[in-house]
Amino acid sequence: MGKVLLIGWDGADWEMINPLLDGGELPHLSKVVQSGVIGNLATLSPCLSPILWTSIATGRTADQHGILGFIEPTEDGLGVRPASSVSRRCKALWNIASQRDLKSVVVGWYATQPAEPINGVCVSDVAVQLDWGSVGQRLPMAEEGVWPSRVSEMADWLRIHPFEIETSDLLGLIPSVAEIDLKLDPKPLRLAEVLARDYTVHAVATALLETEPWDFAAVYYPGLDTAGHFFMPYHPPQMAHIEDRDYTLYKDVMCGLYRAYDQMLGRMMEIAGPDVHIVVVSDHGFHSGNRRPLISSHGATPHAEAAQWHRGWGIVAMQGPMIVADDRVHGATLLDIAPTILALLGLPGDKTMPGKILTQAFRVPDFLEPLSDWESEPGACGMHAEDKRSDTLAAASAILQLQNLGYLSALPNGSHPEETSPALVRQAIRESQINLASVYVHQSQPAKAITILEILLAETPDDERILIAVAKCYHQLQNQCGLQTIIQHLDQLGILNSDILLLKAGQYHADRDAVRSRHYLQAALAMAPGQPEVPLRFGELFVAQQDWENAETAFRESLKLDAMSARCQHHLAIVCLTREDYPSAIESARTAVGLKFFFPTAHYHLGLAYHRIGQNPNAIKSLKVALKQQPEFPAARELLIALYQKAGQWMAAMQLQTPTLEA
Amino acid sequence: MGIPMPHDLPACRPALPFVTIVSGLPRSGTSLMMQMLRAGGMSVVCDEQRQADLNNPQGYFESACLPGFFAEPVPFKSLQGRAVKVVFPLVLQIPENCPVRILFMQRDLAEILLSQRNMLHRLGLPGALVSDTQMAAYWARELKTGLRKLDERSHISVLELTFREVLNEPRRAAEMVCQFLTAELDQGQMASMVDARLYRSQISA
Repeated sequence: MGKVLLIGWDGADWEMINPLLDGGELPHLSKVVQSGVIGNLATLSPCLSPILWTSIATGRTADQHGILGFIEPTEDGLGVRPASSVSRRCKALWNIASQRDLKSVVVGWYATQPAEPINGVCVSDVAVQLDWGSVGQRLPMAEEGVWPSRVSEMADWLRIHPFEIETSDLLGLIPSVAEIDLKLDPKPLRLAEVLARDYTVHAVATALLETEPWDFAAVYYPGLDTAGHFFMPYHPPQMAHIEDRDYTLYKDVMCGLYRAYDQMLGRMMEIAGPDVHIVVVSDHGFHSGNRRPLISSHGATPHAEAAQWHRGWGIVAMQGPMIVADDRVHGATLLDIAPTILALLGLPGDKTMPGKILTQAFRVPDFLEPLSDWESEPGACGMHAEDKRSDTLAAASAILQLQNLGYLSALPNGSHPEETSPALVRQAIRESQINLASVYVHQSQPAKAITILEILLAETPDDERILIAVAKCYHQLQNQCGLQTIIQHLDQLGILNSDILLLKAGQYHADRDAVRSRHYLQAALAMAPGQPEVPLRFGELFVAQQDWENAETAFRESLKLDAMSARCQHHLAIVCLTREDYPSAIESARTAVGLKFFFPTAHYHLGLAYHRIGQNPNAIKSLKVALKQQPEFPAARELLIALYQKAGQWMAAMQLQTPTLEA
Repeated sequence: MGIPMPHDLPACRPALPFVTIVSGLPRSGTSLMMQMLRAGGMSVVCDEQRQADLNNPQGYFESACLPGFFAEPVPFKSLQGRAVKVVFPLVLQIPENCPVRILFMQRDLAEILLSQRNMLHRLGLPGALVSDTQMAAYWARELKTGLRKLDERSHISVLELTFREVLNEPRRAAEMVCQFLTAELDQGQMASMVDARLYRSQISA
């Protein structure tokens, strides 16, 4: 059993880190890289930080953990607040640790307000938030933001307010900061806010790690993402729409921030000591090069565009006594972090968690048998009492409904401290439901998504975002009639974008009208030339026409735009299989499962390709994975039975033929 | 603000030493129970600010000044021996020093949500943004927790009645109410108030 220090760097990206590592500018992260393992970490959808960081901490998707966005309505339907711990429906790592008498320190993690009564210390995300206030005036900490209360005074004293960040603190990031008139250009003030928050987290975390007993610590730094939304437009190379003055002033901010993060990592590693496992993760990446979104034709500000800059790949870097050295992990997702940390802590996993232990990272992959379900494991776990936790969406919806019906004109609990209009509360509920629908869509559960979206659409039948989401669901459900109706409605509203063109192309593709499908794909290509989805869809069209040569060209074109598309790699593998180019098929299928391990059809095609070149032991391995991930997979089962029989493994073949005999 | 007096009947003689509260989720049959109590001879508190309509053809039996019910001092004496409707979840706010007997109407949650949705539709107002399944799960939990909390309070007694049973066996329901309230009400008149045609939004058992 080992101790684990989990450090969250929101928005950290290897594309930013690698050049800095090569230049020797991140010495502490370099130690982790050289003495441990690194990899890409596939994000989830929707790519919203409270959702993602809760998935990291719980090992579950948003429909399971219940955190559905940045804000949520209060239970009384009168206000909104940041996503809170009372809305989380399952245990986080610190709850599981508490249940087995391990102590945890949690600082600044998303959706941890109010602080849970864990075995250890919790300082919530809201507790470390700060306002400008007045110079010299220390604003009070959030109530219930710290557990246990004996730590409150120390945490409060360690908070750093933005007005306490001095010009000299910014020099390393904005060398010419003294020349800036803050009244005309407040960007340095935004950076001061970022630094204040991160330094507060760091100060509180280091103090607690030094003074409190702990077995597991989770510390979250939001600054790289927050700063990215403001300053990545100014990062080199200069973007076309960025003025020279701004570029010169702010081009060093992001690299400077990464260097500051590395210094903080070094201090954490020094406090933790060599026997602690260090796990550094990010929830998503951040475009920093030529794929940064351009300013829209509507004249959106650089900041508005920055919100679309999240990249689908975050980082994972781990080192420690149980971790191999100088190696890579492949196919990791956010959902794998919790199972892996449980293994590092010497705790059993959970069969219901969709992620897996990153076994490739371990020197000796020897793990405890997973529990059926940590949620049903009895014992105190430090979650809030059941009557404090609630389905805030249902609660607020219910109260709003009763108010609309005239049964509740005022609740007797008194006025809400942050009274909000019912329209804003309703908007918070809508956003949460849209996010939940998005989760279902990306889990390929369009039927569940449609149930939610149709309720929203009934209220706002002309909402473009919801119409497109419904259309995508109908497409997945192969409901051509429903798709046709939505597309006609979008046409009537005069809404046209590349998403809609792709849907139209998909519709004609389903009708086997290759000419019209191609027409809309060409239009989508013209409208969004850098979008990898378009050549990928061209490839699918060519596959349907059995035009393998053009299909391969299209898929390779798509991969030039997005080399990390597991789906495209898989398509390419299938084309290569059909063309009997088995080595290329193996290469593409291996890349696909390396990018996205949970991909049963890709494992199947990899197995098939191995079989075709006579590498049957490898074929068996891949087919076993395919069946484990998708037990109802007749083609994989049939082939695996045949291979077992060929190899003389009669018992294994028999077990597959009669599934009820399987353990 | 005083408790409204018009439209009420003289309090039962002798006055019951508690307040009778009719509660339940909106659309669970609370108005029907109030109507039954009035027909049986109990004085009911209502101000008829919300008039009878398609959603409640026999009236709502509400009191707009009910927030005063929760204020200090509790106007207990003016409510003693009378019936007042307090929907759930407001009923959880009953002050500690107020002896009450609660007639709690229960109805299939799917029927309640359907009835609420129909009412909103008639009013031209938007419905809930979460599914009926999610709302039903929420209310099931709130009702279970709420009734448990009411049971734990020594000055409160609760009789649960289901809407379906009141409609199917009005005489028996009237008898149970009278026994619970230890009140001499006209059970025949109470039962005669039940009109099965008003059972809309019914979902087959």
